[in-house]
Order: sequence, then C-alpha cells, then structure tokens
Amino acid sequence: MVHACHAAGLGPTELTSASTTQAAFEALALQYLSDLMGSALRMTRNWEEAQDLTQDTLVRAFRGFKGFQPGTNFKAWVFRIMVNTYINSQRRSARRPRTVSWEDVPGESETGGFDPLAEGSRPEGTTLANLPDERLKRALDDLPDEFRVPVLLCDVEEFPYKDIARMLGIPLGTVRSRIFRGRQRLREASTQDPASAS
Amino acid sequence: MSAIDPFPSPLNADAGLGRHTASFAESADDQFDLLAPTFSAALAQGCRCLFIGHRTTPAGLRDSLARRGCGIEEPLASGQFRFLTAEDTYLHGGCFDADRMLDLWVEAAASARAEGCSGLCASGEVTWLHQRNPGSDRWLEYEYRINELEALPEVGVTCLYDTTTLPVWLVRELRKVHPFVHTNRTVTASAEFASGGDSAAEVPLVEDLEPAADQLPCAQLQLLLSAYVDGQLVRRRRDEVARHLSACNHCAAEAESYRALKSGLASLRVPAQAGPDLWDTVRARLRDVLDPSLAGGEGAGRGGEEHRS
Repeated sequence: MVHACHAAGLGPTELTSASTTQAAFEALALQYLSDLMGSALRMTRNWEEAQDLTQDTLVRAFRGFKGFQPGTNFKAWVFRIMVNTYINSQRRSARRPRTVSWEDVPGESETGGFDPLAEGSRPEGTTLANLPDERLKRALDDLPDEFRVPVLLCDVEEFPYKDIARMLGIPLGTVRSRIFRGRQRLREASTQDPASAS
Repeated sequence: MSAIDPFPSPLNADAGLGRHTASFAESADDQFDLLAPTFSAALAQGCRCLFIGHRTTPAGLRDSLARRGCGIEEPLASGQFRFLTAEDTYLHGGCFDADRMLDLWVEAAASARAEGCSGLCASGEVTWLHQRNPGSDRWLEYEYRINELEALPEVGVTCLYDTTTLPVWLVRELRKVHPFVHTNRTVTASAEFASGGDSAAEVPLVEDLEPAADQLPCAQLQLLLSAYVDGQLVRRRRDEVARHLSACNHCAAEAESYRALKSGLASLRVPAQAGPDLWDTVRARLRDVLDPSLAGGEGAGRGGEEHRS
C-alpha cells in the first residue's frame, strides 16, 4: 500500500491520510465480508457472480467512502451499494441462466476453508449444501427479483422496511407489498407437492 | 373547444400526455374547465380518453363537457372515450390496491396503443379518498409510482381531488408526488415535487386513510399481518392487529404461518465460505483505486490468485 501511494505521487500527509482511510475501510469491510459474500450468493445464485458482486461492491464503497458518516450503520450503507450494483447489473444484461446451483457451490474443503471472520463465530455446519428446507430454498430461487430481493433483505438480512426502501429506491408501501406478495408465493410454492411442482 | 380558453398557458392547450397532474381546483366546475380542452385536444389527436367517475355520472360528465364545447357522445359510442366508475377501478372489491391500479394503467395504455390510438388521456375522481377504504394508506405510494410508469410519455393522468375533504398536510404530501398541479385555474409544475435520491423511500404510508386494522375484513388484513410479524407497523396499527388476532383464530394461524416462513428464511442466513483469494483481490482493487496507474494490471479482474498482500 505504501508503494502504491508513492507510485500515485502522494506526499507524506496524503499518504498517511490515504493509508488511514484504506485501513479504516478495510477494517469495516473485513468485518462484513462474509455477510456480503453470503448475501451476494443468495442474490446472484452463482458463485462467480457473487464473488464479482462482492468485489465490485467493496470497490464502489471504497470510492464513495468519504460519503460514509462514521458512527452510522456501515452494514446498511454497504448493502445499499451492493443491492444497487446488483440491480444495475441485472438491468444491463438479461438474466443469465444459472450455471451453478446452490448444491454445486464449493464447500469449505474446496475453497481452502478461508473465513475472514474469527473461526469460532461461524455457525456450525453452515456449508451451502446443507441449508435447511430444500423446497423453501428452491421456491425462493424461483421468485422474480422484484419479490425475492425485498424478501431476502427483510427475512435473511433482517433489515427494517425503511432501510430496504432506501436500498431499492422504492416507497415504504411497495416494500411492504412486495414482501407480502413474495411470502404468499413462497408459502404456496414451498407447500406444493414436489411431484406436482416439477 | 370552448369559446373562451380559460387556460392560455401551453400546459393546458394539449392532451397532457406525459403529465401527471393533481387538480386541487376549488370546485368541480373549475376541474371541468381544465378537462374539457384537454379531452378535446386528446380526441382530436386520436388518443383514447378515459374518465373514472366517483361523484360524476356518465350523463353528468357528458353534459359538463358539452357545455364547455367538448362533445363526447360519438367518442363514447365508438369506444374512443370510456367511462369507468371508481368502484370498478380504484375500489374494486371494496378496497384500494395500488399494484392492481398501476397494472390497470399499464394495460389501458397498452390496449390504447394496440387499438391504434395515439395515447391515453385519463382523469379520475379521487373524491372518495377521505372515506377510509381499506388499502388507501398506499395512496401516496400509488401516486408516486405513476411517475415511474414506462408508458407515462404516452399517457396523461389528471387526478381530481376535493380539497375540502382532505387535511392540509395531506394536500401538501400530494403536491410532492405530482409533477404538476392544477390550482387557481392554472396548471403549473409542482415546486414541491420530489424525485431522485431518497424521495421514493420517503413517500409515507398514510394510516389515517385506512380503517382501524381491527375493523378490516380478514382478507384485507393479510398485508398488515405480514408487516406485523416483521415488527414494522406503527404502534397504533400494531395494537389494532394484536386486538384482532386475540379474537380471530384464522388470522392468528396466518400470522403463525408467516412467522414460520420468516424463521425458515432466516435459517438461510449463512455467511459464505469465501474463497481464499477474495479478500486479497479486494485489497488489490482498493490499491488500484488509490493508484490508478496500476488499474488493469495486477489488481484488476476477478480470481486474484496472483494477489497477495
């Protein structure tokens, strides 16, 4: 990093400031890296896309880090950037077919067991292959983004409606309605007889 | 056309396509003074015209427009002009559903286009808004979302309010969600209209426009039940829903099923076991931000096996 700042022609003051900024950002980013990657994976349903989304989010967040007010909710701030990045990428390209299913996502052993969070803080047995209720998971995967993303942000990420409204740039009432309608569809689909659903 | 055009502004001289206007006129007469030249221009341009009446009957509309030089007998007969009632549209099934109503506009615009019309010029009486119909708490949201309709460039919508039945604060909120307002016999851009930034997220739900939750039929309480299990209702609504649940086994079971679903979904909250290279790649890309001369070099792209801090 010091080398990079020298190469950028930064003087000692700017260098200290840039180093401090990057260090402050990295400390926060590292804290939420697994959450971001997990959420990115749930949004994209694709391992490589999730990695790209996580990276792009953190780079965009770093670029806009001056706009972050210390002491406010970093998680909500960075998730908003991620949701925007995801939505924009979906708008740019028609959604690509899924190439990797949840079950195909590499487990811990295949990825070298890297976990940026402290080892003890990881939930027990949380590889992606053994997530609960297969039917619910599939039903969620099949929801259109319009409903899926608000439901994910509410029920999985546990953000309040107000934060979700800001992340998605939609009114509070629309958040409430999309979560409700998403849940209606999930309830219907996840209680369907698997034979008739396929 | 009326002999005297009361609206010399160019804003009022056309069919109003692309404009979403709130009419806060002092009287229904003032509102017909606006509608007559607007519908005349729209009919002349080959637009589909649509009027949603609440207080006004088809005969009343026909007479009011005819007195102002806008004859709609023939367009009504040919289908170019259509009259619908608030009960058929805004309040279908006894409640207001913002999503259903927005779909209606999308379909009406598509149908006008498919039938060779040059646009859709519509107006609706919202004189029922103060009557506390189920779902009316979403009214501001609905008005805001009209501005985002893809079809809006080919649609003109004029919402006819009766300000004598609405509180001042609500009229102020309505000005924020309409790009244009009609008042004092003039249409102008609304100075209070807000778009961009967090303006969508700031559009409030208006609980005062709805009946108390414990007065709602069970079918219309479902939306609130879902928000209730999320802990996202204001206190008064929460208490009303709780009262209903204590007396209604059906809704209590529904709430329980939402809780179970919520709990099932919460169990999907698993931090991903990110690959060992992810953090290295992120850090390298952050360095590229500080030093753009390295961008596209070792820090760019995904994978990042080559990056080690």
